[in-house]
Amino acid sequence: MKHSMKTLMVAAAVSGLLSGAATLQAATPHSTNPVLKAGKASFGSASLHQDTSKHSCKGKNDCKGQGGCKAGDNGCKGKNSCKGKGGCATDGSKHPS
Amino acid sequence: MSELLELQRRVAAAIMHPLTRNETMPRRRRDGVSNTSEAATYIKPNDRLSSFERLEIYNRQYWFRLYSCFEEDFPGLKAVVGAQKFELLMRDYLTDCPSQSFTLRNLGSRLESWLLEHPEYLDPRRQLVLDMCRLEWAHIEAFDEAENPLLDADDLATIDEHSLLHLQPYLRILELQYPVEDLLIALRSESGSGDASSNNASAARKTRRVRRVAALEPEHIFLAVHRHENSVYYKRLDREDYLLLKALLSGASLGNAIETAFVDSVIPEEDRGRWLQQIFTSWSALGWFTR
Repeated sequence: MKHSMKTLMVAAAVSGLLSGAATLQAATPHSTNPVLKAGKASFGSASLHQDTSKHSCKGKNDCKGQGGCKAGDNGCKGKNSCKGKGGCATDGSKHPS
Repeated sequence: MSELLELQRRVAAAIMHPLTRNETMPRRRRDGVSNTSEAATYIKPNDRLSSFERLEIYNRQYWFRLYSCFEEDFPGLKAVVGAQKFELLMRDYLTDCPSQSFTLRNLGSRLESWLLEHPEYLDPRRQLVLDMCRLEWAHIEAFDEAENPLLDADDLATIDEHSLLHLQPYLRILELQYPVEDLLIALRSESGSGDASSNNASAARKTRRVRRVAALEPEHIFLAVHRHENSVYYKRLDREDYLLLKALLSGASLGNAIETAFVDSVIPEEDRGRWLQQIFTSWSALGWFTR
């Protein structure tokens, strides 16, 4: 690529960067922005509440996929949604009703 | 070593030891230690359960927790390899690559490399299985990797062709041979649809799933897996997008990354400036560029 062409290409990229940054600044949380084409949402909301696994009472995440666990804090992995709710008796005892 | 620390290590060794094929605690561990004798040394029996049975509860719960998290993380892989084979795969993988992290989020971190060493789980649709595994791991990383501060006005003002642009740690890019993101979305939507308790509905879903997987044709695609407003998105990329992002991620300067993107490109030269402006606008608006 000729240097002059490369300079033009970089200028176009920087122009886009500035434009996008301005769009981002102007956006309010949860606003729908026509410039933003995030892609396909990875799952439907209904799927968050199903548990068809064989070991259905163990290791289920309460908050996964619901936006509570971003930024690498790993705060929600491995929580039991059923913990303390009396659904998982395993030691031969009955839960107090 | 304190007595407490020693006890903790002994209990951990018992609990984290793999289960038998019947999902029970083995009478004897792989290193020859008898679980029956071991349990008796630090657990009292009660009127209903022996020491072994009381320890077994924790051993089983530990592994059930791992299985459940693994199944939750790889529903696409389960659909692609089939439920029975997935069960074996999961047990073999977790036995070979047990959890070594404080978070179960990392359970699948070694799955792709492990699968490459276990072709019995890849056949007969090797590439499809690998693609799905890579997508689902990318999804996990996109879900909870860090989000760095965005470029500010001063940063933006100094960008030139020699600049190194940093991308968000949660952004993952993939080159795939199958459109597995469409399949995964369809599978998730399907398993999330109503009447989960009905056997007929469950059987119908399974049939649809099998047909969907069987019908999936190869398609060479490029994909960004990223997070936006706390949800994970799959964004199709053009070849040039992918090459550009890949170059930036590998540490190329902006100018060199742009050159790389246009090697063998079908985009006419006169259109490239507009194309670059559009994609940089989009990526910048998505917050992909960071300090």
